[in-house]
Amino acid sequence: MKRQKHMRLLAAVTLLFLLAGCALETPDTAGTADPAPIISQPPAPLAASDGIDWNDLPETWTGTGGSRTSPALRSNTYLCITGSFYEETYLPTREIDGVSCYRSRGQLTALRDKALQASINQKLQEALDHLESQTDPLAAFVTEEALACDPLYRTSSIWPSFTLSGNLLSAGAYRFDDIYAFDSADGRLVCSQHSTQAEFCTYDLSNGRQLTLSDLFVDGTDLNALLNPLLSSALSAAEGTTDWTDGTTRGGLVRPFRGLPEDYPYFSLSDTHLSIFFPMPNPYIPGSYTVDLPLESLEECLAQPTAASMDYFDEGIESQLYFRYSPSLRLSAADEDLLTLYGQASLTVRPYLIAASGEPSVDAINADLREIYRSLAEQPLPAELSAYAEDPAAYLYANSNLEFYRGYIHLSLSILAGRSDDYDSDCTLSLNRFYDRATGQPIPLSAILRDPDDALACMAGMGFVIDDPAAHYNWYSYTPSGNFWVCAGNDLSQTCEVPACYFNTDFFTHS
Amino acid sequence: MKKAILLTVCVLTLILLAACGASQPSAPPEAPDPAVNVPDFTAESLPRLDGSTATIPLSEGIVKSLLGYDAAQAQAFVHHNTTHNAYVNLIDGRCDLIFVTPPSEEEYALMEEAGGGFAVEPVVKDAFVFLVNRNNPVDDIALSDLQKIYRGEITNWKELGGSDAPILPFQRPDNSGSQTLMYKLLVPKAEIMDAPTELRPSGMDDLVDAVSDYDEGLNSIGYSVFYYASGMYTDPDSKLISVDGVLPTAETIADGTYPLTDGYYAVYRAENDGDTPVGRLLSWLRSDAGQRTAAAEGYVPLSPLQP
Repeated sequence: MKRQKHMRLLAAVTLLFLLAGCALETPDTAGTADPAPIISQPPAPLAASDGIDWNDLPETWTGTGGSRTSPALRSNTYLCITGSFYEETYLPTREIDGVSCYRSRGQLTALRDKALQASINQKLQEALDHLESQTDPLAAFVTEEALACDPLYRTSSIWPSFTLSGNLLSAGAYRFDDIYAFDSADGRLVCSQHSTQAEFCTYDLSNGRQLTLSDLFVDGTDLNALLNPLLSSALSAAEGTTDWTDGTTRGGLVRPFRGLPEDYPYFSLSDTHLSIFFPMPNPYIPGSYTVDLPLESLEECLAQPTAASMDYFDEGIESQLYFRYSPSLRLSAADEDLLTLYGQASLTVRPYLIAASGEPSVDAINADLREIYRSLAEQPLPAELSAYAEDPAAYLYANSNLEFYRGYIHLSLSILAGRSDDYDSDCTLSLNRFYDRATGQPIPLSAILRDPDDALACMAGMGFVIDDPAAHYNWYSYTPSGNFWVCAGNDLSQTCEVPACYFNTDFFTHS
Repeated sequence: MKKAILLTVCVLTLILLAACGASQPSAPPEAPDPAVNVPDFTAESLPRLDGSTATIPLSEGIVKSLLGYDAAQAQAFVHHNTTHNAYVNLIDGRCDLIFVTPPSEEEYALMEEAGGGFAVEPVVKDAFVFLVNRNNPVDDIALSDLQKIYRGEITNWKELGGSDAPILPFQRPDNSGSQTLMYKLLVPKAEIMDAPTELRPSGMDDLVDAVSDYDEGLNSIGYSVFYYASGMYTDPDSKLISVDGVLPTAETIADGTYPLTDGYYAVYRAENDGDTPVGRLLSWLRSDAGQRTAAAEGYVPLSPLQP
């Protein structure tokens, strides 16, 4: 009994202690925990610019272009209008208040729908006039210090642009102003500023309708999810690139990209890209900037045909079929070790055709390109360039390009070396290939010689011996009526200029 | 019985003491001083600011708070000439205070060559963060393993518990803020492996071989700074990974638990410390009001703010 009393007493005391401990843990402010410290604040609003409210971000943003009207953009070729469907008139340069003013006007000339043509031309003229009416955007920088400088350069340029993508025509008006002032005593750059403004409109030539950005995409496409990540990535990638308006190096994004505002008007289309223009100023990248989104990245969602149609243009306007190509496709890991040309110091360009599935000509051309790049990587540095490889003042780079003509594709690869303090020291080597667009086979010298014996004799007379023109591919010409250049096999430094009369120039006109 | 009572009292006392210990609040982190006065500046008396592109919003926030400008006025007022040019302008006396990414070796050398006497201090925090493809099974990498990846010593994801696939470790260009952080916080420039390169347009007609951008590939790993990587539309195909078990968030960066933390810095002539316009501006920026201004512009404050 006594033991039981003691146990009950111990239990009560235990309970009291536990409750006391709990009470000590309970703060005075009646049952609530300490408020969590704050890390973030509501985001500060962004400045509006050029009528754009960068804070007006749609919670949902969907395409309004109707159902899809064209097959997916998977073909390796696209039709491009090459004939002139517009005219641009350059006005005389004027000097106004110390500013050199360059102006040009433009208008469409070849649309079949002349009423639509007139409407677009008027809208473009209104845009050009609006840009003309803007006050000097750089007036604040014309200070007494700048005016005292010599030289002081001020320019103002306004010009039109037209681009086509399938049925869609984009007309743009641009204005660029800049000021550069150099101290007359020490030549120091005192002032360097520029301003870029632009206005755009895009029309569907099939019905004359002016389109918004949303109208480019199939109904229901989630444009926040489609466009904003691409734009964010592209803006981030601008870091380290050169702003060619003033030669400066871009510093990257100002702040994380929050998205495009609703009905964003600064866009245009071309055969290969949807371009989004960020005007100056904007919240994300200093100056102005254009992001070119490849149509391939949007192909599943584009509502409009991407191949130009001749139906909307006057007769006589030319078109051309082009291959899609990548300056340098990211190849598989197995190919990466083939792609270094002349070491880490060189700048390399390795264009490849973008191959549609099972396209024989594209596969054949890309296979030959791979072999070219591999063989160049294995060759020792030509004697002319080896001296520069160890010279710290030397530059050495390779540059290549794919050009597309009626019926064939021209690869040109140049290797250039020289000294930065002696531009007369430049040494250029070149390698070329012409490929038949239909078969993908390289075109040998023998296929374009009018009379092989005469041509070879002419070259031999210049100390240039070609053993087998049927196996010789390194030749080029800039124009059908111009002379030809034949390079001596794998010795890229030996080039012979041969008159056009020895060549079958019909080659350049066949389709 | 007495022993039982004595034992019970001892146990209870221990329980009580433990409860008391648990209830003691941990020492609060050093909070910004709320008592710092707002300095009285005009557009003419405000220290001339310059800096990196990534700190433009910080300068804009300062201008909005201290000059009463709206967003558009602040945007027009603030002009940063990018990191290197900002240092040159500070050294040459064309500005008074720069806000920059963490100084690189070259930038410290620049200041030394100019005779030294510059103060460098953090004003907000940021972190060096890593991204992998969203479908990569690896969510966490030890700091030591990250170093081995970028020294080329770990080359396959299976060594980290992932798939049997080669690691593709992308880097950033040498003049980028992220690359400066790589050299400072993870692997020095002399020890880092070669970066993958690819073509990139460099001008009107030229294409140059440049450091490849992280490509969100399944086997790729890339890095950035939290300021950018935490944005809404940065990279939908990627995820941030934790380092040493800590995921980078504003909280873990502010409280220092994320291991790869740094910040953005104020750099100025040390003679301008104290009761000078520069000193007063920085004192305000370090205050609660200044840190809230920075947080509103998207930066992580030096320490958690009090509610």
